[in-house]
Amino acid sequence: MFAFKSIGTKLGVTFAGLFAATMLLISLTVYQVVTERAKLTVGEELTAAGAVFSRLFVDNARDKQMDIAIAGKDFGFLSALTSGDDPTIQSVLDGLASRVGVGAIAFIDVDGFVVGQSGAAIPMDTLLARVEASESDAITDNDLGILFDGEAVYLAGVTPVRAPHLIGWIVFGEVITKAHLSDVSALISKEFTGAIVPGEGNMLPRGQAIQDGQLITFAQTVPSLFDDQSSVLVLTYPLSKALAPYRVLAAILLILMATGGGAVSFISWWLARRLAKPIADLSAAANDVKAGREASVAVSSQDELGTLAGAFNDMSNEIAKREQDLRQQARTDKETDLPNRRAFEEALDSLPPAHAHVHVLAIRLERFAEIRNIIGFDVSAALITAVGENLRAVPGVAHIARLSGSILCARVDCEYGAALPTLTHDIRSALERTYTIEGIAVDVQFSMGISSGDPASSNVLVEAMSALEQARTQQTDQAVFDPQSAQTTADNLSLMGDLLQAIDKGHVFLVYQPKYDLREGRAIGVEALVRWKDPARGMVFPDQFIPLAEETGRVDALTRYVLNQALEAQQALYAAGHPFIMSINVSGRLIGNADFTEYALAAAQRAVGPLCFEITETAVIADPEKGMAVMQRFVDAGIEVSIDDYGSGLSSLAYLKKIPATELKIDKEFVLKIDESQRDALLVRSTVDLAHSLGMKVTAEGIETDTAAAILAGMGCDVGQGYGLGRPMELAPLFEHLAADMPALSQPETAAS
Amino acid sequence: MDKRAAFIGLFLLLAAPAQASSLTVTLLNQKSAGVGEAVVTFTPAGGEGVPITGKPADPLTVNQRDLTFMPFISVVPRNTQVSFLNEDSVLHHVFSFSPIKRFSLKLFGTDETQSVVFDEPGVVVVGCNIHDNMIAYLKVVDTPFAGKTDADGSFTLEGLPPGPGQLTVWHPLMKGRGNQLTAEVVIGPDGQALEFKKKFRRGARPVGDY
Repeated sequence: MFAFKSIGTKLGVTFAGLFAATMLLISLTVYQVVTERAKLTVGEELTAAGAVFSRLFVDNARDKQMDIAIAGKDFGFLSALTSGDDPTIQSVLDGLASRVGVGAIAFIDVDGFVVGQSGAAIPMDTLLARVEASESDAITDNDLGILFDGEAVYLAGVTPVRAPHLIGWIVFGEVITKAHLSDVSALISKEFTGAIVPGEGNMLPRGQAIQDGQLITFAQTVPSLFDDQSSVLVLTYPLSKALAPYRVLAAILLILMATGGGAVSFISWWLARRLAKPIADLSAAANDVKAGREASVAVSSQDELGTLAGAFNDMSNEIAKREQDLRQQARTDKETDLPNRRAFEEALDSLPPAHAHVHVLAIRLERFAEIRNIIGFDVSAALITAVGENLRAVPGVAHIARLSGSILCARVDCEYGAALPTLTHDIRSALERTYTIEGIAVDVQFSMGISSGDPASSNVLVEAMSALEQARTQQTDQAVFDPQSAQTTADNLSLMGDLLQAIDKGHVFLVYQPKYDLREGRAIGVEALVRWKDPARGMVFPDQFIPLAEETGRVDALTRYVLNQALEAQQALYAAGHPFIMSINVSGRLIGNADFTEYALAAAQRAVGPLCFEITETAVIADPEKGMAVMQRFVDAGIEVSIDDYGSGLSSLAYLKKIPATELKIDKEFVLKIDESQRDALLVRSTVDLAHSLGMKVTAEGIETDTAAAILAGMGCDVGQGYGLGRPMELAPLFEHLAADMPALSQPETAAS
Repeated sequence: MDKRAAFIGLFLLLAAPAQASSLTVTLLNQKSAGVGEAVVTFTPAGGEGVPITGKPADPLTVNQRDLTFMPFISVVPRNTQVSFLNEDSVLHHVFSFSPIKRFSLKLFGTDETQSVVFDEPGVVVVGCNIHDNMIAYLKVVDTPFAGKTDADGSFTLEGLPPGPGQLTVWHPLMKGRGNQLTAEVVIGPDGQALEFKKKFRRGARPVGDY
């Protein structure tokens, strides 16, 4: 099947084809009918011609024969014949020939002798044969018909003569030429071709016109003189001549076909164009809609296409409206219906150059999470909405938006100098009040980050957020963006990028701080501590990179490294005669990391002596239940678990109760001034008691003086570590330190109790 | 076949004593059916002038009844007068163009009789100039030994003098010269029989069917 590219072509071809087929059918039918009609007409004319021929020749000859027969009965003539009066016979025949009007006439006696002859020659021998036949058959009636003699055709008759018995025959006849037949054709004004032929072997149907190739042929039996012969009159007429009168009709049909075909093609093309134009318009409009442009088509008619165009316009409008809604939604915070960050950024971007320098405030609603936990999401959202509306209402505030759950932002229009602090003050006064939302009164406080700059060249919004963070870090309620402080954060990020490389390159190494049994005054273990000596940065302190490693997930790799190094060190210590328990620090964030857990358990197998994992920040353990199980596995594997920095963080009694720890390390905050602060001493003593009663041994950190060590020992503290007992050292110095005596602890004093 | 029969007859004749004899002639057509109304004559050798005696006279009247001559064929002894009697209610014009006797008896009415004497032997064809289909034949003979075959085609010549003679059998439709056959026969003392088979033309009155 063809695929038409246009409806016009399709319709045109279809209709023109249909028309052509119809016209062809009509033409064929007309041709058939005309041909049949012509054949019928010509056939009728030929039949008439045959009848005319019979009338003109045969019947005429029969009439003549009647005359001759009557003459043959004349008593005088018979008398002459029977008396052998030849001259009289000849004269009678001559008279008869002229009177009746025959070409030739003769008398043949019963013995076959030609007695008299008049007129043109006729084939007497053939006639005699006919006569002989007649004698044998005893035919005595008049006989008439066609006689063939070579090429010549005769119409001849035989009339018996009786006196009263048969005494002979009068024979007569004349040649029939083409001219004779033409006379017949002239009579019916049709130029047919006629011939009389022997009937034997002529298969044409008699008395019926047929089409024989390009000829219409009619054959008719004509009487034959000989009974055993037959003769046929054959008339032919060319079919083309018969059809000639219809040529005009054919021409008219052709012209009709050509003009009609043209008209149909043109009309269908025109119709299709009319039909296709609105469709093409719709198609173009649909493409516009697809491309996101607004589009509509002209409704120019009442028909289906008009309806379609109308529907299309409705749809297009609907899409535009919906898109508008979507755009609106995309720029609106769903919870509060305030503009969102995207709307704010777009507003900044679309500022005219006159506003090249803008001031952006990031405003955080403090303790929002807690407020939300109390009043619920919906009310807190309403609170934010109310705050937003308040903010928007402050004179000088140009745009506002909600950046995150608790943070709003605003662009303010003012001079940078003195006006800005005044404005921020105004804002704070406007916002910080008691809000009553759905009957719930809420007091709120805000912190602010302020940033200024050209939105085209700097990200003032991010800077405002940084300023907000800086305020938090500085524990103030307001900060202006400080590029330097932001630089530190950027440095930290680069630091983390370098950490793993530093591990590989050996820039990260361990130092070991000895742990002493306070009662016996001897070293029983070491705590492995990590150090980073960067060739470019110099010493990077653990306080600096450990939290960063925790934040960025690199603490896993770092801890594995530390574990391996520590295990090697323990081996060295053992080899040197120091069967120490090896303590390493494990971040609470790693507890629950299944990969690390397996790794650590496997590594512990290699340990030559006891291991202790000092777990810091127990509160940040993501899944406490799971964390407890992991710690239990460590304990089951023979690894001691120690609660590090107890008292400084968010450690709770609940954890103490659950953690399967064997050691509690009291934070050095409490130990450093134990000899000065009665309060600290009291806390330590009770903590020691608490730990002991929970079945844990107690280690004190930050022992700097002998006094402190003595006091702690007195309190029942089991183990101690600190600068006063031994600094963190690399292995070689450690060995030396261990070799030296420890006077302060060599003889334990009784601490103040 | 007729010749062979003639020779058989000849031998029989030689062996017989000289006294009156007879000859039965039977004429058959091509379908072996007997042909009636054929005229049989016998003329003894040198017998010309033998008076016609002892022969029951044939009816010498030819009637015209129902537009037909009756009889169709008549044997007429020489010098016999034949009467033509009109028994129809219409007129007849009886004529003959025959060479031995041409005559024309114009328009005679009912029960009128006209007579003609036939003094030459031969065949006379009689017609009616008014009614084309009427035809009759007169066979004028000059021997006493003559007669017509019956429906079976047979006729017996009686009282024949033994010895040679000429036998003729004539019928107007018989094919052959003069419409007759001629045989030289010798009549023996005992009765003889001869049978002839000839071809006939078809005619108004079928040969052999009456």
